[in-house]
Amino acid sequence: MIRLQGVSKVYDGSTVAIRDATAGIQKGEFIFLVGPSGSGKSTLIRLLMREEKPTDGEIWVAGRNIAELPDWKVPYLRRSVGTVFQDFKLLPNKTVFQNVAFALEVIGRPRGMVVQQVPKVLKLVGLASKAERLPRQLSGGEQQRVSIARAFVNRPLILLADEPTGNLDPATSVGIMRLLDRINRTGTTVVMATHDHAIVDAMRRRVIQLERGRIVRDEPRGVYEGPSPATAATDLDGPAFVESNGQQGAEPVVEPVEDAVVAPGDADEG
Amino acid sequence: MRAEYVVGEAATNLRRNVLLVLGAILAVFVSLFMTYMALVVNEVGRNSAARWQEGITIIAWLDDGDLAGHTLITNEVNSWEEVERALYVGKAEAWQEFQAMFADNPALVEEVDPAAMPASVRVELTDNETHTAVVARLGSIGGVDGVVEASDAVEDTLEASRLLNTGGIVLGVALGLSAVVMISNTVRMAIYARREEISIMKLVGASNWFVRTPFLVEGLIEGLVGGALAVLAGWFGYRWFISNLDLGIIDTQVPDSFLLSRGLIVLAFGAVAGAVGSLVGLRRYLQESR
Repeated sequence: MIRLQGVSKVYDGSTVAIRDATAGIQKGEFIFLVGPSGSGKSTLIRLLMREEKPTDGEIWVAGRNIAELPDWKVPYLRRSVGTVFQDFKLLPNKTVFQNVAFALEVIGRPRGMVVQQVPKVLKLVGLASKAERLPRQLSGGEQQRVSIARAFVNRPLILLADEPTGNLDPATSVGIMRLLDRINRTGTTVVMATHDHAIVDAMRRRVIQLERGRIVRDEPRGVYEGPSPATAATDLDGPAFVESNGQQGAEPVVEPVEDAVVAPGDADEG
Repeated sequence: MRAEYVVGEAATNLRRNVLLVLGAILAVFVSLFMTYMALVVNEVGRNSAARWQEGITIIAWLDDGDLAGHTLITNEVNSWEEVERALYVGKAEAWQEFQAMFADNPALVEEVDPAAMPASVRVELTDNETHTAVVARLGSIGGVDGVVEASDAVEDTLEASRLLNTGGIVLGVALGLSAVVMISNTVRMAIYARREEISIMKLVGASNWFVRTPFLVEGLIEGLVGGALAVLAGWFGYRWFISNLDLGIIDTQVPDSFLLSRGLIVLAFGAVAGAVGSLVGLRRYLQESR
């Protein structure tokens, strides 16, 4: 499904974000990308969605080398790659339904398909009853569910998630992870960049660890393990970083409604 | 891509930046109004000059000879190779022309003795370069009383309309460029206002044309509205003002078909300005992203 072959990414000719990365990901796998800030996780995600072009190497996604993909074909790549971000990226003046429908409308899907698919996927993410709410009327966890619904409504082959729980408290994060796990079980390949030790340790999926742009560990059913808690604590990965506190698996019956202090934009890792 | 979607998005863009949009439309309007008026004035000049001279640039007045002598002179002039045609205007015709010319001054017509009207030979040249030579040659013929060069007045008229025309076009083009810049700015503002939406559109795989078309349509609408206003203003401005001017020998009438055909050209200019403006605006944006 995805194959990286000697991929490097150098910014401004000197800042090396990814060094000679090589890895293969099968269809239906669930991958955690772990590592401290600046280790290249986000860059890798951006390379996989062709937000960036690699300086060197080949990136094969669904049988195409996207390093060589002409710009005008990028939209078609994006239709088979769903993306979820830490800051949700919802449109504030559109309802939940409209936000999800937007993803289908702008790729020219007929109205009939929109009204059929959107409720289905909203039900999947557990927001069927909140379709007419605006994003600001939702908790952070709910907003992230909307953004997952939007990424998934087009049934992508791959779902890329860059710190999807980065702005959420641990209990809410668990709910999001269960949702991503469900999506993964439909056969969608999930690649998730994260800092969250608890989640990685609880899920025991394949872990690819990055350190200064290098892949230093690629382990099936791995744990977070990487940086010591001390390192993680000095991380400048945005204000909403939630340190692991061993609450994994304790998903509350009712998802707590939080104030969802979202700070989009300033949580961007280099 | 549904047309209603594109037009709806474009309309939203237009509403969101009313002042800027009005500025852009105004810029298109002023520029195209200048151009349209320049075209009309040019036509008025050309028309009147053409009608007055009907190709004739020299009049040779003849002395009171007989018809045979006059015919002889006319035939001779007709045989010169510089001469396209030499037209004999007898005393009777000259009298009719005089009466028509001073129809609004019956007292004058009363005063004048029809017999005093001179006959003339009116000359159209094949090539106006030979003008001076032909005038001299006509003056040397026996029986020619005097030579009048009709061209002076005609040239003046043509010159004036040429100046107006050139000035109008130059101004129109300069203003047209500013109109294009204005349109590209409104498009850029609209893109900026929707940058969030656009980034999500690109995220979920909207094609580039899907993203761009509403902005293209926005620019087109601005150009076309400005152009349509220019044509309307130009048309009524002409009908109410220029066509009612009394400029003596200059005939200020131009046919509706002319106004219409040039109006359509002006409208097309508006559409082009709109398209170019929005492409310029989009180009900048496309370079910034990806």
